[in-house]
Amino acid sequence: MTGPGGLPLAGAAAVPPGRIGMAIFLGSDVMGFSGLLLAYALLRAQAPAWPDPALRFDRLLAAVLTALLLASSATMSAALGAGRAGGPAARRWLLATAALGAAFVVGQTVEFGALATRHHLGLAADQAASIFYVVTGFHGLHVVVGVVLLLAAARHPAREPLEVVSLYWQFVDLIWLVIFTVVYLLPVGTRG
Amino acid sequence: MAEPAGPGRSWLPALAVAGCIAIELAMATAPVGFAVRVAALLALASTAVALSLRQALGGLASRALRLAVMGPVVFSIVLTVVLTLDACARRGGLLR
Repeated sequence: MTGPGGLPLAGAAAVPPGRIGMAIFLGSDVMGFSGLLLAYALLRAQAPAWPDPALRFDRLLAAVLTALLLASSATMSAALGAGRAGGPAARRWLLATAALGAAFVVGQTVEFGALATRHHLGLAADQAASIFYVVTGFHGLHVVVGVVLLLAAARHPAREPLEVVSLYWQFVDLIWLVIFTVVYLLPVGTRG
Repeated sequence: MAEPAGPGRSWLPALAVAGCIAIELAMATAPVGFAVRVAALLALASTAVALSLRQALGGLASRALRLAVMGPVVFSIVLTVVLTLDACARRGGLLR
């Protein structure tokens, strides 16, 4: 890669464009999630009352969903390791990661369905329900996109697409850790 | 930059994060005070996120790119924490 006047740019050739693009995307995506989490925090701080997450949500199901994503993070790392080594196992690990991601999406759909039908907590039930669906749904959308990317990468597991998909998937997992803690675990205080 | 090791060691960061989440789950139901529980949950979540972030950014292979991602991350965290604390203070209590 060269700069103005055809002079080589120091270090520029070392970073493939796919990783630069994904880094820029993740930087903006983090701010998108941050905006939603900030909205959650402000709504919760200013609401006269806030429902106890322990009573409203199925924490066991949420813990299982978290375990699925953590396992997928490990299988993604294994796929990356196999891809870097040039081994044939990369495709297998990628498919395992996609399966775990798909299981997460199915689990989240079951959770949404149970909340909406059994507990009558639709999108417009209250502020807490609205922001819950928006935050977790936005993340679920990321997981769906990730599963599609993983399946696409598994068709021809070349190293560079693997690196880019891995970066995306690890970020999707990471953001869930924040959502899980803030939305499902953080207790409600006695004040108010 | 050195590439991370192969599949054998790749499970370790995920296991460490899983350990943090397991302790979080235990803390969420443990008979401790509200402030202690909130502090412990946030500390454990921060540790898990830091471990995950370290693993995720390992594939970027460039310090400048890692900083390009970390910039918005740090900015977002600081902004969220400051504005949340401000909102809580206006309501008359730090935690709820």
